[in-house]
Order: sequence, then structure tokens, then C-alpha cells
Amino acid sequence: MIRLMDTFESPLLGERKRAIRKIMNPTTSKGTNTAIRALILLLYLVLAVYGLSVDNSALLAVISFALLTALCFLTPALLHSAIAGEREKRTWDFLAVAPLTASQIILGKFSAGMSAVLMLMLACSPFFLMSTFRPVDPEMSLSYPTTFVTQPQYVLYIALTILTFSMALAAFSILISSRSRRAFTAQGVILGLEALVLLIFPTFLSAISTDRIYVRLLTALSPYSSVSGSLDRAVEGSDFYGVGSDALPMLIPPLIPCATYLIFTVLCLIWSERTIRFADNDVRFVKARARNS
Amino acid sequence: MLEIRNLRKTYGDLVAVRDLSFTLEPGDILGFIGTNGAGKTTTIRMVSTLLEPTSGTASINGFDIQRDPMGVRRLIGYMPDFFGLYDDVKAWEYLDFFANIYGIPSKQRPSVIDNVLELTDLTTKRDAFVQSLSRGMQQRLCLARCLVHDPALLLLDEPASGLDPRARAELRELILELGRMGKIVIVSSHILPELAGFCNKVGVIERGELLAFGGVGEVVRSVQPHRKVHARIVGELDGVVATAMACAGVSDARIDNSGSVVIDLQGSHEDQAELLKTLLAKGHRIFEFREEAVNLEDVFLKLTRGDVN
Ligand SMILES: Nc1ncnc2c1ncn2[C@@H]1O[C@H](COP(=O)(O)OP(=O)(O)OP(=O)(O)O)[C@@H](O)[C@H]1O
Ligand SMILES: [Mg+2]
Repeated sequence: MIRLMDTFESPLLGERKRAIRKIMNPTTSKGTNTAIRALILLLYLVLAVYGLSVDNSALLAVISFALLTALCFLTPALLHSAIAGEREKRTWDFLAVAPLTASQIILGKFSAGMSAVLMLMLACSPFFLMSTFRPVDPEMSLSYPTTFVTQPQYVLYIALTILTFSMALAAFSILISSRSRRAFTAQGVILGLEALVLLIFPTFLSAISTDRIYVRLLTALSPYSSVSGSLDRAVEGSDFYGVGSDALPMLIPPLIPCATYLIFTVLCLIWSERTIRFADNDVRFVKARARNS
Repeated sequence: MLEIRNLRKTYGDLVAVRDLSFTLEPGDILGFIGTNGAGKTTTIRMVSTLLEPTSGTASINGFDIQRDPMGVRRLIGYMPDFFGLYDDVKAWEYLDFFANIYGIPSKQRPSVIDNVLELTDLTTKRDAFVQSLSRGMQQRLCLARCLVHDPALLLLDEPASGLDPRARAELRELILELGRMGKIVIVSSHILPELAGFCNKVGVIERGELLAFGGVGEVVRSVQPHRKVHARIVGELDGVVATAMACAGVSDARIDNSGSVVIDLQGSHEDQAELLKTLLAKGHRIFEFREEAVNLEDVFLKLTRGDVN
């Protein structure tokens, strides 16, 4: 119990400060950071302009998918080097020699990544609120008769799905990072597997069959179909914007994918804790004719 | 107190460190010398809990590196031979980050940071970004990081590489000061004259084996049991050799190319004083009489070739 408390009062929470400072402070930035920042800013502006010109449900759909997609790239970008990068830059020894347990290091890194994710989600929250609570323009609702957000709890589900999915992605990035020697390899593996799970695998599955129950169950676990399912529910009586509402009626309630992501997060974090020191004691190639013979 | 007992590390067939044992008391400064690949870094990394020993163990103030690594980590400051620093933060932020990790309360941190910056002569670089520091300054910042938590044992793996002569002299002073503060310091280095100045213990390691360990004088004497005394004399050199040879403890005396008398002395300092007295009594006009300085380089070369007496 005390060990658990220790873990949560991780001294590595200073890592969070460092990560946020890195994102916020443009004088220290390297090219990629600036690019990521510029991209986010641009996206934000486009959304702001767009959001004011469309009706609520369209805004909700766009902001949900944009945020989800942004986080699919942002989370690995923030965390792929969490441990592999420290190994590569030889800063790892200082953490390894400090009085930190493996789980404190992992949780420090995780919370640093998640603070950035939360910052982004917070930045997007006005759009979510706007899409839910903005009074409907009667003229607009005439032209799009079925686009009221009548079920705000589904907006909450969408936000939860996105949050828990990026938690899972953050934990997964840390796992791959703690298992890699090079940050670049880690980044490649994370993005590759992400593409496989979110794009290639679902396409492949739907090519074989969309009727089989297990196929539909598996697909329902994808954050994209979960979010689009919730979108359909939020905008009651409509399948106008719901991307997959015909093909994939909501099989499982939206909280089940969330729970799945949370379980996956915990598993990844535990596994990272176990594997974090894998490179510390490795044996480099030793010739058979050792010098002590 | 640092106690190393039968510490051993093997990589496959290769024995990188072979059953190393020694003890150091607070205030000891150990010069750890050995050829490339001798096992210095491996030993230091094992003591700093980064590497698991194949067998044997070490303990620091009663904390065992295997049973209680957390306790050990709180007591040590480790400076690796190669390292990087987070380069997106300022010098003081870097130290603050580690002070936080070592559990220094946030109220005390500013004064602790100022102290270590002062010690390592980096006060002017307090607000500079780490990436803007020169290599030598980064080295000093790393040393400052090792000191934030006031460790009892410092493990410095080639700390002087990359430092200019002035910074080296300062490092020497700093290490001496740390020794006076009662810390144990282990310094590995190839630059031997550098170590001779401030170490009170030396350990010579080759092929993972500790060839010699002990006080500097002790080790030197074990390798060259004769002390060499140089005497320079005004005027006549006749009879000096014979006079010297007749004295107690003298095993050899000769005149070298530069005209000074080289006397190999096996006896004590008492004998050395007697020798000088006798030479003067015989009317030799001595204007210089000195014992050859401890030469670690000779010791090192002799030991590592394997030709120990
Ligand atoms: N991870 C490893 N895998 C295999 N062999 C290793 C590994 N690390 C060290 N060695 C071997 O162990 C021996 C001791 O290496 P170590 O780094 O301790 O030497 P060193 O005394 O620090 O040398 P240097 O003065 O060059 O720094 C060397 O022969 C080296 O090749
Ligand atoms: Mg070395």
C-alpha cells in the first residue's frame, strides 16, 4: 500500500513541468516542435472559422474526428522518445541511478504526455460546448431539419472515448519506447501498429464480411466507429452525418470501448514497468576467444 | 563506508571484472586506474546499481547494492564517462528537476542549487540553456547534478576528460574539498599525474583484476621497494658513491649522466636522514638532496605489463 502511494507521488512529476515547458516555450524549440505547434494552431483556426459557419451536429462531428486524428499522431510524437530517446541521448543513466522505481519513471512519463493531451482537449472543449449548447439558428435548422444535439451525454461519451483512447496510445507509446534503443525505431513501430489496427485491419475485416458478429464487435472497439456511433445517438433521429450508422449499428454501449482502452492502458504500463531496464544489462557481442583464456 | 566483496561481472565467456574486493573509509579518495577495457566503468556501474553483478556484492554505509538499491541510490552521485543532458532546459531548471527527484523540499532547492553552481563555478551560467553550454561546462553541470543531494559516495568516471587545465585544477580542489567533507570519492582516469596530486588511495586494475590497492605510497613501494634519492654536489664527486654505499639501507648508488648521485634506498626515512648526515660529515658539499616524487605512471606501466616484484 505504501509502495503504491509512493508510486503515485512520483518525484518524476517534474517531468510534467519539463514537457509542458518544452511545448510552451518557443525559444527552446527544435524544428519538429515548431511544426507541430504551427499545425495545431492552424487546425484550431480552421475549426474556429468552420465552427461558426456550420450547424451544431456538423461541428460536433468535425471536432470529434479532428481531435481523435490529431491525438493519433500527437501522442506518439510526444512519447515515442520518452525512454528510447533518453537511452539514445545517454540521459537515461541519470534516471536509472536516481532513487526512482521503474513505476515512478513510467508514471512520470505517462503523466507528462497526458498533460499535453489534456491541454489539447481543453483547448478544444469550447467547440464541444458550442456544438452542444449553442442555440439553434431556426433558418439553419430548416435547411438541415434533423441536426439538433438532443443528447448531450453522448458528447461526454465522445470526449471520454477520445481521452481514454489517447491514454491507451500514450501507454502503448511508452511500452514501445521502453523496449527500443532508438527513438526513431519506436516512432516507426508505434505509427505502423497504429495504422495496422485502425486502418488496415478494419478494412481487411470489412472486406471479408461485415455480417459476422465478431467482426462487428471488433470494429465497434475502434475509436472511430465508437465515436461515430455516439455521434449518431447525440443527433437523435438522424443518420445524415453518422458515417457508419447503417453498416455498423451501435452494438455495444460507448463505455465498453472506453473500459477496454483503460484496461489496455494499465496492461501497457505494467508491461513497460517490467521491461524498462531491458537494455541496462545486455551483453554486447563477445568473441568466443575471450581474453581471460 | 564502501565495502566491495568479490564483485564479479562476466559477459558470456569474458570476465570483465574478476572478484574485486576492497574497502574505503569516509574521506578516502581512490584513484582507479587501468588500461582501456580493464573494467573500471563496469565496476563503477555495478557499484552505482546500474549493472547487476554476476556474483559478489558491495555495500555503502550498510546498504547493499542488490538488496537495497534504493537506499544506495540516495547515497551516491554517479558521473558516467559518456552522458547527455536534457538540452531544452536552463541550467538551474536541470538541477531543480534532479533536486526534485532526490526529494529536496522545494523551499530549500534554490539555495541548494546556488550552492552547487557556486561549487562547480557555473554561477554565471545559471540561466543559460543547457544546449548553449560548452562540453566542459556540461561536464561541470553534470558534477553539480551529482552533488545536489549531498551524496556520501561519488563515482566519477573520467571526470576530467574535456576539461581545460584550469577547470582540472579546480576539479582537483573540489574533489579534495569533498574528501575533507568526509565523502568517499572514486575517480577513474587515464591521466595519471592528475590523480597523484589528490588521491590518498590507488587501485590498479587490469583485465578485471585488481593488481594493486592501497595508499599511494604503499602501492608505489610495493612496486618499487627502493626509494630513489637524488643528491647534487658542488665540486668533487670522488668517494661519494663509496660513502653512500657504506650507509645503512642503501642498496645501490651511482652517478647519472647529469652528474647527480642517484641512491637506491631500501631503508626508512631515519636511514635517509643518517645518509645525509654521513655525506655532509665526510665533507661533500650537497646543494640538493631529494627523494624522487611518487610516479604513478611508472607504477602503472610496471604493473600492467605484469612485471610486479
Ligand atoms: N555490455 C557489454 N557486453 C559485452 N562486453 C562488455 C560490455 N561492457 C563492457 N564489456 C567488456 O568488459 C570489459 C571492461 O570494460 P569497461 O568498459 O569496464 O572498461 P574500462 O576500464 O572502463 O575501459 P576504458 O578505459 O576504455 O573506459 C571490456 O573488455 C569490454 O569489452
Ligand atoms: Mg570506461
